[in-house]
Amino acid sequence: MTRSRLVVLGATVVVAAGAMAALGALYLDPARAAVGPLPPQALSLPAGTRYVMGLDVKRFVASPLYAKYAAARTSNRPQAFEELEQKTGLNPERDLDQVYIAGSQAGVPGRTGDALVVVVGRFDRAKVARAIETEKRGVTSKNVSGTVVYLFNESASGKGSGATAFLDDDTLVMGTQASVEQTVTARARGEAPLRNNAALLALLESVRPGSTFWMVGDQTLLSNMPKAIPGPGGPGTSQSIELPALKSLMVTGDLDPQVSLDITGEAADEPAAKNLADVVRGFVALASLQANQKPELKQLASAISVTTEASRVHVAARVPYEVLDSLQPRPPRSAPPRPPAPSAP
Amino acid sequence: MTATLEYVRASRWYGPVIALNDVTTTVGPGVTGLLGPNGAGKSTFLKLAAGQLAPSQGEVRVLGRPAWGSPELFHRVGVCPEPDAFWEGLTGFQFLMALLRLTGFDDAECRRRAEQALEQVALTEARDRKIGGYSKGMRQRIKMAQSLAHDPQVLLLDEPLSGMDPVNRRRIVDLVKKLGREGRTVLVSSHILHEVEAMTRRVLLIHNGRILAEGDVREIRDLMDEHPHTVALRARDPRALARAVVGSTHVLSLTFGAEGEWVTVQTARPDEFYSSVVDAAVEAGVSEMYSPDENLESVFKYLVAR
Amino acid sequence: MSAIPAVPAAAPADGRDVSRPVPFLRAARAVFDLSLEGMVWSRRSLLMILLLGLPAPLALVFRTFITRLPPRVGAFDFYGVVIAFYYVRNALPLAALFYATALIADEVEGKTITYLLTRPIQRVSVLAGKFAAYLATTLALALPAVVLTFFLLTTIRGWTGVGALVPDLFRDMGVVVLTLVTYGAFFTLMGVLLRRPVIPGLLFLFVWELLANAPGYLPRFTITAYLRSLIHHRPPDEGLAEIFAQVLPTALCLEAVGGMIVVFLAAAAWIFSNREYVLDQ
Repeated sequence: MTRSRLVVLGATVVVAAGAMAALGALYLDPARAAVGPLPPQALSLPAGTRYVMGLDVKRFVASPLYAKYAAARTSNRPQAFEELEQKTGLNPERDLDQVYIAGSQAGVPGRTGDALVVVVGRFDRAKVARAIETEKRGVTSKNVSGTVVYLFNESASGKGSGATAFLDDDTLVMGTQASVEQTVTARARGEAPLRNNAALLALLESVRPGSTFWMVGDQTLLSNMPKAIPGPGGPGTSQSIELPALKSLMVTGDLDPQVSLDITGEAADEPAAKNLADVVRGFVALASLQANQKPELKQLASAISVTTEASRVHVAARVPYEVLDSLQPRPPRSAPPRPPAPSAP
Repeated sequence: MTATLEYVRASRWYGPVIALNDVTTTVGPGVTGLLGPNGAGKSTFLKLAAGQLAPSQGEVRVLGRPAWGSPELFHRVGVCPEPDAFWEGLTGFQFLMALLRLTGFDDAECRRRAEQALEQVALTEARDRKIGGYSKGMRQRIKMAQSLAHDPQVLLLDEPLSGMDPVNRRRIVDLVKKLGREGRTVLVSSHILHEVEAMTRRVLLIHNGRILAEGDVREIRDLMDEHPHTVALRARDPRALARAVVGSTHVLSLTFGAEGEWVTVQTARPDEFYSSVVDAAVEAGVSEMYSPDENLESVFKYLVAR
Repeated sequence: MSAIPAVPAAAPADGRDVSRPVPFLRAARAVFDLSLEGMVWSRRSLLMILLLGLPAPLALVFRTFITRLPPRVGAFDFYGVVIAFYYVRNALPLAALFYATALIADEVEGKTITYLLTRPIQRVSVLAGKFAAYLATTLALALPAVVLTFFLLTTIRGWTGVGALVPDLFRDMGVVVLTLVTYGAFFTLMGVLLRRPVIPGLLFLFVWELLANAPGYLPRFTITAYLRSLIHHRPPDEGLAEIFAQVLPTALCLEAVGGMIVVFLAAAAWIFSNREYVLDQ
């Protein structure tokens, strides 16, 4: 074999080894989820789910933001955490891995919320169950497809206001009775109803892996957002700027080593996306213009970028903690001590 | 005679310059010399046959096919180009192997043919040395080897003896004559008459892009008697050299150079002169020898004027 | 002159079909073998090792000193900058320029083109073999560096979460390959078309390709706009580029890039097949 072929072969071996290592990391990574960032058990969520949010507790606790929070606490740990650990054996900072919130009606006026909270971590099931049964008044339980579901404040009609259950040893689900029971039943039957929600799955799969927090959803997520913003004439005038409706929204973020935020919104079409991008850029520019009064706003503005790709708008922000600190309101300066009154001659 | 190379009113020009002008001729089996001074159109004539140039007008056919645009011809055509150019990092053996692979042979056949070609040009011992370390003569020989390694029916050799020492020159001349006797068509281009004469009696005389004459070299030789061959020699003892050669019947005249080391001889029979001068050259300490071959120019001038 | 019987033009005993050129793939493979040696072991390759391999030691430095660096840039963001800005925008196109423009030009300048053009092979197989050798050489230099850089930067905090980033690595490797093929095809065409293609090539890379940052449809007349749109995790551009940065749809990018490769290579093959190479003597 010629020397040149040896070089090419050597390079191929390096690349192949790298690819094998990568594939190994992909399939053996404990953080690998069934769909995007969701673990397999979360696929039991109802098919009608319209939004999902996630928090990587481990990354959050390891972030500088949490470290600041921990340092700012007056006591070593909040009392609530102490009590929780005492009663349930659960230390959120140590035992929780992921928290997911999913629902189909995010705070729609006149409708009761149907949010489900899924917590993944390490639980002492016996201790947690005992805590639920003994510490909470009006708690009942029922067997749903072989799984114990705890119901809180069950009314005379048999409809409780809340419920919780263990999907498995590592997963606790909480929410309305109907949604918890629906999830438990699907899990027991080995079903994955969420896979029928193609739109949501597509959004989940485009969540950036390794994000500390993320959020995906359709218009439901944005139902509380304003449809228009005040125009140059001020609020309530006919010159308000109408915001284009978004078909879907995805937010991912990290907190280490700086606050990173990526927001992707799908507009109705390309012109709408461009329109929205221009509005956002306008706000960023306005912030920059205020630099004379607040120089830190200029830094913040320069940390934000807005791009479009067909009908998608992408806003990215990379904000160092120093800039965030400078944006915090400063405590009022205490008045200087009065000089002592001159003594009488 | 079966025509292997055919030129039918072939012309080739580069802008306003006409390199070959309305040439009609054929070349058949055996060795044919293409003779002409520098710039006469020999290279263009050869390159048209080698398919490297397309005729601006007319036709050039090799083995019945148009030379330009027929790469399959090179299964049976070998070309020894004039430039001294190689992939210097390759050994002689690797060079031949690479080119034989490009001719479609499998590895075992490539190896056999490469070894055979190296033997034909007496480069077997230097086969594993890089061409970059070869002498001028060795480079010329390896170039020759690549042109005949695939056993071609037609060989186009552009100045094949350029830079060769007398021993290797004789070797190549013998090889070319052998190839001719085997019935191959060998076209050898040169501007040195006696080189061509050593290989063949059939020549094509080319000058200013036209074929001036074709036929037996003896006819040229007869003309040469009126236009003797000039040889310049540089010696340690030029007078001793002069004393040794002046008595020879084929030496027509002898002059000493201005610097005192040079001797210029005019001879009607250069081959005999070269054979006879060897001993005298050693004794007189000849360090340099060249032939400006002005006589060929004058032959051409004669033919043009005729 | 006595007649000399010609050597009969019988079919050779080795079984070759002498009525046709050597089959395309066989000929291209032979040219590839011949060219690879000269391409890998050249002074040009020494320069390219430095150019294409630079991110790997930089990643090592980043990894070693990350705690002392200002926290503006995360490890994966730095990897994104390396891929999008260093490789796709600069280093790979430069590598393509210096190798691909010289595929035929080197042979012409070295006067070895005659040996290739006097073999029973189609000229297009010469171009194919040389292009394949160029790809093998540049990929052998670039891909290992990409893989090493990825692992050096993503495993700073251990292997947890690396699996989730692996799809980006494979996608980036694909973009690296596409970049070398596309620019290689373009510069091969320039090398065959122009006598001195390097200066026009540099002007193309550092003047024309700036149109990728222009508004409207202008970016679609560049190569880099399509390639960088294929990078999933590219960091946001800064300054003026940010205002006009466009990300073109993936399907469009792949179609455009594929079309460019075919058109450039076909044009180069046609020109090379019909051109005469008159060597100065």
